[in-house]
Amino acid sequence: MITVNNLSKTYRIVRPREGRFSALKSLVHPEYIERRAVDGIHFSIKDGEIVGYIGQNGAGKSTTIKMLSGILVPTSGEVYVDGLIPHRDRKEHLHNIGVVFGQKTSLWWDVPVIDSLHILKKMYRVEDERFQKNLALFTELLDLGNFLNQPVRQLSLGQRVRADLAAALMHDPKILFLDEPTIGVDVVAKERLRKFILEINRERGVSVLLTTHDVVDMEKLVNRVIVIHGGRLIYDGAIHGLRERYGRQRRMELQFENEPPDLTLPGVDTERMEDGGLAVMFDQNAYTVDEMLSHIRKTGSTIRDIIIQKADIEQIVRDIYQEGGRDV
Amino acid sequence: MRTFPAFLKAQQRFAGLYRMDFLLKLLYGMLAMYGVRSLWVVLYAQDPAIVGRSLPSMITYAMLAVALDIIFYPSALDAAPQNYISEQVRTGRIDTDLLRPMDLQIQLLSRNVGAAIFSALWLVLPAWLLGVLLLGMELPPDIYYGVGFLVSAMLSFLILFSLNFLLGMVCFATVNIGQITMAYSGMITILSGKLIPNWLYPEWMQTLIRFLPFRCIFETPLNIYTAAVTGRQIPKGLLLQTIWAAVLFGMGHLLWKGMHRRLTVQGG
Repeated sequence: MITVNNLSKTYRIVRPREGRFSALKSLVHPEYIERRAVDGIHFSIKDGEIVGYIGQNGAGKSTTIKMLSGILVPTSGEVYVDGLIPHRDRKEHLHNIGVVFGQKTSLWWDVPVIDSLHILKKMYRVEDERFQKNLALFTELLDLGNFLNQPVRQLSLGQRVRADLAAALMHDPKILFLDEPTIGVDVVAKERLRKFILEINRERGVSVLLTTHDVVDMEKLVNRVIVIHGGRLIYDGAIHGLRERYGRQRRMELQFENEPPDLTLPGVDTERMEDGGLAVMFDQNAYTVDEMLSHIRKTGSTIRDIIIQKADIEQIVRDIYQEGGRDV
Repeated sequence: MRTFPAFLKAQQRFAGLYRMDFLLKLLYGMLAMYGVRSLWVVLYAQDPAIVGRSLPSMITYAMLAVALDIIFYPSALDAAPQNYISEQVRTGRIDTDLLRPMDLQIQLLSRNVGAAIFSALWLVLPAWLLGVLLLGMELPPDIYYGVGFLVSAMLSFLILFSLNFLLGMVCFATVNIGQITMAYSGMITILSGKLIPNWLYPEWMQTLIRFLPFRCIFETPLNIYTAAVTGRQIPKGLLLQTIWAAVLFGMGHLLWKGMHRRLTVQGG
């Protein structure tokens, strides 16, 4: 369905200058610096998969999505989506995909939702029968009923994302690109969105590529994750593989009777917490809990309370970043 | 263009949602027509020679200019292309416009046409009827002039749309179009014959205006309606309008093509 080969994108941005007349100089004779947003990535996605595309802000996720949707031309490398080259076969390709940006609506800001959907129906040449069927289904599953007649500018964020999702699916695309669809949405609404995405995937076989920072999204939606860092691919595989590989990470939160100690041990991260306690992050392959505790006691501090947690996905991803994806 | 009925419907629903807003606009249209009428009545009373036309012809010209202005500047939806583009560029939503399987220029034209038809039917038609029945507005002399006026008004609309779209393109380069828009609106107000008929200007200015597209927007259709041109001159006026429309629309198309390439290659 989607094949990405050695894909790169380099942006040319104007280098800010310093000193006198800097703004004028930049205008008259701009100097450019090149920034590699995506750097030689490979992956492929099969029909009906839901893939999580994760990475920190600025890692190159949105740039990849834009290249996959055909609104950005790659600097080098190949992209094929359903046999088409997105930026070259743009119009045909756009009928195959649906795109939702959690951060910005693609609906007309001041047009009532139902009219936006009718406009899209015309644009994508969706037949009446199919349109009515989809409209009824999405209205029910996404509970659009009570705001269909309101202009988008009056909707809450959760309502807006639901309207955007319905709009992206009106023309029955084979692939859905979701760029942080759940960002800023409350817990109940998030759950509804997840159920909807799963339903669409199961019932219609729509492949989904989604970027998210939400751990629950990954655990509930995604069967495979691709991790990108600094434009490079650092992990591609099952989500449980991530946990197995990095699941022996522990976070120990300690409260002390006296001053917390300065702990400097190789491979151990510490962090002062807001309540005055100390968080210690370590890998059980390097230290057992018992060894860690005796290291701390040796400093002369008296432990009052202790909580030990397994690392969550977020922690794991952070660890992958820090290791720079070594041995992946 | 296949989307314009949908945009028209959206505009109607919008007016239904904001009924007060709609009624105020209707009231504004009628008051503005009455206002310009009073102005020309007073001027005419001072010295008919200044006006250079019969009073009924002059007030028809002025009131119809107000009516066309309402059709050409739909404000209920963000339908004017320059406003839409500057808003999309400012908020970064322009990406989402590239995701549509329809050219931006055509999409904006459909939207603007939808809004204009709405204004014509619900705001201008009632105001025009009122003008004819109560305010002494004249009808075109015959059906030939009437049809000529309608065709000419549509071409005016296309010229104005194309100019507005070009202004929207300027917005890509500068992001902020506030100052340029002011200068631009000023030029349209002064040079199009909307507020001040061009024949009242000194000779040199009339010559200048002859080489600019602005007079095709208001003066041409209004002169046809009020029969200030002979029947033989109508096709000539329409041809000139067609040429300006084609040139300006084509320029917008080319600029957008270049801008689209820049957006997809450089990423904005």
